[in-house]
Amino acid sequence: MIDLSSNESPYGRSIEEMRDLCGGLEDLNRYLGYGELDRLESELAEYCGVDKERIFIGSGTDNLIKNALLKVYERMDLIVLNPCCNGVVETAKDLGMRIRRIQLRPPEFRVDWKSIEIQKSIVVFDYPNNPTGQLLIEKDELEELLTNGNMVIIDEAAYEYSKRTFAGLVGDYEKLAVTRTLDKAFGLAGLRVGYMVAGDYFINSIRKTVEINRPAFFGVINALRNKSYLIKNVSNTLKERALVENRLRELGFDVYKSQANYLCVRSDIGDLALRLRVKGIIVEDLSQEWLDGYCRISIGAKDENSRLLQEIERICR
Amino acid sequence: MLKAGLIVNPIAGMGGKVGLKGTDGKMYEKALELGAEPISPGRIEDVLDLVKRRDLYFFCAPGSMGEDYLHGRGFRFEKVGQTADETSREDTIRIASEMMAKGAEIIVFVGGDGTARDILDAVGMDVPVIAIPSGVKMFSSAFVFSPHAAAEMIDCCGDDYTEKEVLDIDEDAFRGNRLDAKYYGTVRVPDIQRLLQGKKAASNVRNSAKDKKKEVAKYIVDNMNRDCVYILGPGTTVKEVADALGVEKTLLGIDAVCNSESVGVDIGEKEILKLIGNHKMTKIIVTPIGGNGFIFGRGSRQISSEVLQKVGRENIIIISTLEKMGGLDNIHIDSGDYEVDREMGGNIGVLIGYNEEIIMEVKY
Repeated sequence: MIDLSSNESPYGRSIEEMRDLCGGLEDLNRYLGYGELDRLESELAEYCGVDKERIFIGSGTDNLIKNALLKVYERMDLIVLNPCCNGVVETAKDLGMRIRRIQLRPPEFRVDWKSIEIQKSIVVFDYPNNPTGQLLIEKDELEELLTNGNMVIIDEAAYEYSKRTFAGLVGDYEKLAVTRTLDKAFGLAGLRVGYMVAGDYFINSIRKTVEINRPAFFGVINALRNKSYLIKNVSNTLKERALVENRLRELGFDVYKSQANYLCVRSDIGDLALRLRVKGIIVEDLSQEWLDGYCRISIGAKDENSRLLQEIERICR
Repeated sequence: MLKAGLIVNPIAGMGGKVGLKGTDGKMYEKALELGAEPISPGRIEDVLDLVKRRDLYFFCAPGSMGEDYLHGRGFRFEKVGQTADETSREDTIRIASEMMAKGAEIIVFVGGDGTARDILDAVGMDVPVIAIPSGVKMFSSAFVFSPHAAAEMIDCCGDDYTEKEVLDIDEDAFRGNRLDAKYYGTVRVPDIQRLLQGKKAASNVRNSAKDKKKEVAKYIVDNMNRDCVYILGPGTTVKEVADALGVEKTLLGIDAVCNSESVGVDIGEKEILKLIGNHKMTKIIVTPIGGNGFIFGRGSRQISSEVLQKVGRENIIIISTLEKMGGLDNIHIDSGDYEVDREMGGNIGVLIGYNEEIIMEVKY
């Protein structure tokens, strides 16, 4: 089965590489301590170009956002884009928050932030957007949301592919936080480590805790120190993305320009996701919760993408 | 020069405001008895006034089926076929065939699902069509979503066409509270998707969707105002509100409740206006039609532009489920009055759960 549905890195590591990466296995009888967490925060702060106290590390981005909501949600609405990650919506429901979704519409998927009344809200969205791969907010629009008293949490899970970030603004806006992950471009989805670059309001509201485990700690430290995997992965993915994008266009698909490691596509082929699944290829079918004919396809390794395109060509014949 | 056929079903849509849900068969006479007025003439006149291109040559049906609306509008035209005083579906089929024989490159017609079936019977997929909605139901995806969209389509249509469905709606079943929609056939229409309405999707009745509707209904009931009359539109989602209150509600008609009691069942425009006049506050609860997103102007003509004007945008509550809304680009309105539609336009929240909404744009 070829899984092109979860935006993971398609490139695995050898056992030797994994052993080098996840050191400290001889100390698995010991908890990870605050001293080690401190070290990891320093490494991530350097990577992000921010002060260490702004870094919060957690077991996945969903958990970081959930923890943030728990501390700051009072009397606030949650604003998300539709489609969106259900984890944050479920948490907001549990907290009794009013939830407002903004529907994304093709072909531009643009959000007219200024035309929507957004006050006393926590706004959570992906940048680039998942599933469209688009950058759906401008700096001035973000600043307006923040100066109107809203809190904004931006998930930059695909930052390494887009190279676009708002992390540099957290020092200026206390209610801004940016989350990122080691799951995608660093190829460490199995370790599930995310981090938040937080503005002062979040720093003062959330307590730092040790949520990750020892192999994850070493894995992240080493992945940050030796970026050869990251560089190669991103470079290959961007090259492959261009190839897949062009071929799908030739085949008559609407393919939306993406800044991430996935493509949002639309086709007139009914049940495309199901037909691919029968052939052993999983892509994310967006027609169930969103628009008919839309799929999100993660960019895989060269051979995976070739298989995908072959099967689609067969379906199109 | 584009040679276009023009056929208007002059009685289409007359059953709507008076709550008859169609004018097939003997319902036309009943609609007249109830004081219904023609809708199609106004629709085609709106379209023709908005059309900018002048390289058009119309083959038009006689009298109220086409010719009457072209006089004095600066278009070149030629009358095709003949009709008796009272027009029929046979006239539509025969005249459309004659237009095709004369070389019409496209047929512009005004009517509902029934008219669309007649045109399809005559021209099949040989000649493309521009379907202007003026019926009561108009659930087929072949229709453009408003007169403005129709005019734009006439102005912009070129050589690109797409295939769209024509549905066969059983009018008797519709009157009897059931939506029985069958695929009837396919027509070709200009490929300008943004101007076309989607088809009516079968309402999702899976358990999870049912639970969601209950959640929405609970939120509505928990937040109802005392002495306010609530006009309840058609559909299973709105019926859930009535069920939560324990009052009667027709599935496809318009009903009303006040202080948790029924104050109107299957009412028409006149009764709605009377209720508005007798209460200090009125709210309308509607659900968009699945697949095409219409809140007003399809299937619920009783909630007329006058009703909407009196109630006001702020008192319109739109309810749905995420499954239904997530599949829509926009919500649509085609009340028959462009100014009212314009006032209703812009972003609006649609309630999709308990205290949960999705912000959609209302297009007109």
